[in-house]
Amino acid sequence: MSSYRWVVLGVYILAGIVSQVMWITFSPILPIVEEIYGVGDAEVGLLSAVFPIVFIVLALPVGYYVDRRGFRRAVLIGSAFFAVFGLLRAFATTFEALLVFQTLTAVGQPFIFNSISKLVKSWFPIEEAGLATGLGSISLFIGTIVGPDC
Amino acid sequence: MLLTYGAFAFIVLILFYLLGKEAEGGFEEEHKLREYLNVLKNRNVLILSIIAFVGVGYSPHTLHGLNRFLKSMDWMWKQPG
Repeated sequence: MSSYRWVVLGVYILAGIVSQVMWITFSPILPIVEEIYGVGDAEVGLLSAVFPIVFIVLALPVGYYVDRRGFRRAVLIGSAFFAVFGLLRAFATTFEALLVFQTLTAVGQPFIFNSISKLVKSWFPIEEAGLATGLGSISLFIGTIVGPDC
Repeated sequence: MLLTYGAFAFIVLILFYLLGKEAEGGFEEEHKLREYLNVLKNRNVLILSIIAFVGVGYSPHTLHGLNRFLKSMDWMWKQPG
């Protein structure tokens, strides 16, 4: 079993951190967003709510995709959504545009979440599967913790 | 802040492109994209996704609940210490 598996898991962990950071971005600055775009609590709350909503809708088809195409392509697609639309959020001049970019950013999350089991199964021996899954999963919570503090 | 996050996401994308490889023999790419589109013909997946979308995605109760949950998290982060 190649030790390169830890490198693959390491870059997956980074992708997992990005996933959560993108989700949690607006929570600490909700009042600022409300002021800049002139919207209320309900509207600005949608910026965070779209992530679980999009995930529920896409979880099954994306899981099917991961099974068919492998975790590498899936994580690359998810990371591309984060990179492109996550960056475009900075240039949104209206709240509607910001919400659209945030929703498209959220599309990346199921590609990351659903890939961990495929990654572990293809790279790690069964006796390390729990440890590898744990490390992969913990990245999601690291992202949630560091996101608001960045 | 959004620019920093976007730049970080780009770096991670490049890192994963360079380093995130499939295991040798772990996954054989024998499925074409066209086959993936068959998911749309899979009635169970389609029905479950529609139920999720209509039942959860559009439910005002869900949005209200999520909003309350997110606001409670926001409140916790704002606490000193």
